[in-house]
Amino acid sequence: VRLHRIDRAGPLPEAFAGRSAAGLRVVVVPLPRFRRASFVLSTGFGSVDRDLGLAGRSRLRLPSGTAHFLEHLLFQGRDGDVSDRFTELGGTVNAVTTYASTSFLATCAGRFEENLELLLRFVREAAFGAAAVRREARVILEELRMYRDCPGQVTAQDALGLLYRRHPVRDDVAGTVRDVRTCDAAVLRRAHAVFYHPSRLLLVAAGPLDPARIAELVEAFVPRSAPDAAPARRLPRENGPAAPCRRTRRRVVPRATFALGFLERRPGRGGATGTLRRELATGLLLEVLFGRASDFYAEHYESGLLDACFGCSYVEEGGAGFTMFSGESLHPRRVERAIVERLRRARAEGTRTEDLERTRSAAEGRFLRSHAGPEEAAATVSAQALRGVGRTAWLEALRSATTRDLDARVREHLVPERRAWASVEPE
Amino acid sequence: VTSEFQRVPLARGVRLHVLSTDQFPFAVVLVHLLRPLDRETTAAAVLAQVLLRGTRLRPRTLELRRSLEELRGTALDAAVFKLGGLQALRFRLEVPDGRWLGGRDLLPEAVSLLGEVLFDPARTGDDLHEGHVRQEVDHHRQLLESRVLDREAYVGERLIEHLCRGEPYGRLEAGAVEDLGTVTPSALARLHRRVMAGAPVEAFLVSRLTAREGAALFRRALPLRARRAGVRSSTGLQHARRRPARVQERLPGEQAQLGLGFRTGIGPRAPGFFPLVMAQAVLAGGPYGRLFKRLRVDEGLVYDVHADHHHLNGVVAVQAGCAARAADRVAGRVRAELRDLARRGPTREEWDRASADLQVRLDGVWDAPDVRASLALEATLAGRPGTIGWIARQLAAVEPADARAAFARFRVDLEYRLLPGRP
Repeated sequence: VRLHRIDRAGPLPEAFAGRSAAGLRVVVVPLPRFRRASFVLSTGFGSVDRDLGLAGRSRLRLPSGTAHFLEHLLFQGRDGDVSDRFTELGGTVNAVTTYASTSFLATCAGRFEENLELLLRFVREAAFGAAAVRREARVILEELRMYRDCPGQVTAQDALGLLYRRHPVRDDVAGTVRDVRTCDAAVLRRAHAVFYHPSRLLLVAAGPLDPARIAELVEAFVPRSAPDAAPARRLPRENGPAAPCRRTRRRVVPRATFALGFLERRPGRGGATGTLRRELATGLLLEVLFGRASDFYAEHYESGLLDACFGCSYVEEGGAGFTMFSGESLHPRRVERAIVERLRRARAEGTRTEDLERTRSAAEGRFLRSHAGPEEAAATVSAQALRGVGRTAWLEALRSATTRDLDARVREHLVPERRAWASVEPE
Repeated sequence: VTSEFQRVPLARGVRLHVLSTDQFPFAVVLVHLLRPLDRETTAAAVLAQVLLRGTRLRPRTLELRRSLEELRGTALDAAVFKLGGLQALRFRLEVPDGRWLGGRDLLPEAVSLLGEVLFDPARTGDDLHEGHVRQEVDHHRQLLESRVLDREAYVGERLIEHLCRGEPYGRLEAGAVEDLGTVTPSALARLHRRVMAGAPVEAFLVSRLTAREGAALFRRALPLRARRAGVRSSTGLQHARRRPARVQERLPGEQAQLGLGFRTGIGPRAPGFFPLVMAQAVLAGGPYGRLFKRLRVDEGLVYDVHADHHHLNGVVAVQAGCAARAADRVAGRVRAELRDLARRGPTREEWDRASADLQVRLDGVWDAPDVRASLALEATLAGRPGTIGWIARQLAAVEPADARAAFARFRVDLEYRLLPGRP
């Protein structure tokens, strides 16, 4: 791997990037003052990857939850439980599946090279025994039960189900009960062959590490394999609801949990830069309008309508994009009306420069927090690299966002007439 | 730059622990006010939130929040938690290092703002601000009543409430709904005066400042005067009842949640303390733990099973979520594995993995300022050293036979179940 320096600007620690002969992308963030190192190995295989175009015009169709199932199964390595191997090397390992990616995170305070080797090996050396698949299916079904008992999870999923009629983002990342029950080893093996090819993988390493040595190790541990064309995601494009829509479930709960969603109609437009600019502009806008230092939050916190559970965020990945508000309240309909009213007022009045500048300044400070240590730095850099952007681009986009950008997001994205409301309310 | 906290007494009962480092791109300030877990626990929990609502100079919450944003997104929050027989009111500042951002040093302004929040709150006459108190009482009521929405946390709390009923530790750190009626602006003003003047203070500063500079900054910004007494060790250690109790509650849902509470009678200064730490790790310290292996990896009965060791009072709480029909099997399996561990001790592999895991966690503490402060605070309450090196040496000295002896001290004191169904 020939590494080159990236992200020179800003207050952030320097980073180095390159690609191995086998095609694996590598980013190293040296943090010499820390004792621990963190490695994140990711593939762009997420829950939305259900229908894929492969080389030779063939197609691969996968049941819901395949990426998450595979993430679980990879821990049952060829030589036994992978977590045990990491523990023996003085490391810990965890994993997370999102709509658009699967990431394995290893952290250790020594024996860095052995931990890295294990991480690079175990994700490519999977065992797909039928008994192991059946056993893991039972664990995932238990995980799904746990989510269904959590009103916050239920409302978020319901809101996505209202925003999207066909896009796979409407299904839980862990899949449906039926698909998890019927998932078999052959499907998992096929998905593994496609998405865990070295050219699909991204390694981010942060900690007291020598970039040149990491590069050598990657070359040594990841052998060259035949080139493989990247799978093409086939995803439906959706315009979302034409009119406000809602779903309310009644349960024995002390107060309502709600989710209010807005769909992004053209996710992915403008490539990685376009997505980055939308994410930043929408994030700043939500902070200005609904953040802890907003008039809205102050007014409705004081009235008792909202409390610290309230929050909102914008996500754009895997061919989907949406803003989601969430929280708990004794008066959920009043919350919905208040948010809608605030959006209408924002459309009429526009964003004040002083609000944007104050929020931008705070966002820069918080960005430093994302480099508080090896785990945080590796997670931040990995998430950005998967999206095809760097930290410098992120800071530049943050610094160049204007009130016009924010106002445009109110007009084009946060349109009250196209909202989706989901709640779990007391019987 | 120092590798361990330096302790600086600011006044009788007021101690500042300073870690001088440029490792992090931000500074952390933690102020713990320690008071008994008693009938005013609820009021004290509300007080912590009322103080975040405004100061005499910034009476509107919005002004306070915007001041923090102007300090490059400095975070200020308050929390309450239990430490043995005490309730800790913790105020935490996290201040971005302005020099990393090409600007001024923000720490003095941020600590000064914390001083305002703690000592100069917004008022209505002599009382605390009437509107703030009324609103926070209302928020607190909702918070307490909606605990059940997070089932796992709820079960953990209910287990300890039932296990330690009648003891200070049996109180929820946030208090109880029935006590909220006594929380008035005047009552809170009195409590505020007593806490700020009398509660022992353990404060922590992690920043570039030296111990001397840190102490000077605190003295300027926070008028923390001498207390009648400093913090006293308070463990709340109790022994198990003769017959274990069983509590069952119902709530509509899909999963059963189990909690098993064990009294070991092993306090933080007892010779068996570090063997108990090892035993907890062997039992359910992570994916290598006995219960995870048996219940999830071998049998696929649970998604999560874990054990918490309440260090100061020797309680170990095991929690698992499973299908309702599997609840008896899971509970039985936990008991059987504990009997086996007490009889035969951990296997060599279990022991090695638990040792390695605790070592890596301890190594990681060097990079985590908040965890370092928590260790130091707990050590103060326990009346024993709390440096990373000392703890590592104690753990390294534990033998498998010691952990086996600790397992023999596990006494099931309470089994709590939250089952699907109508209450």
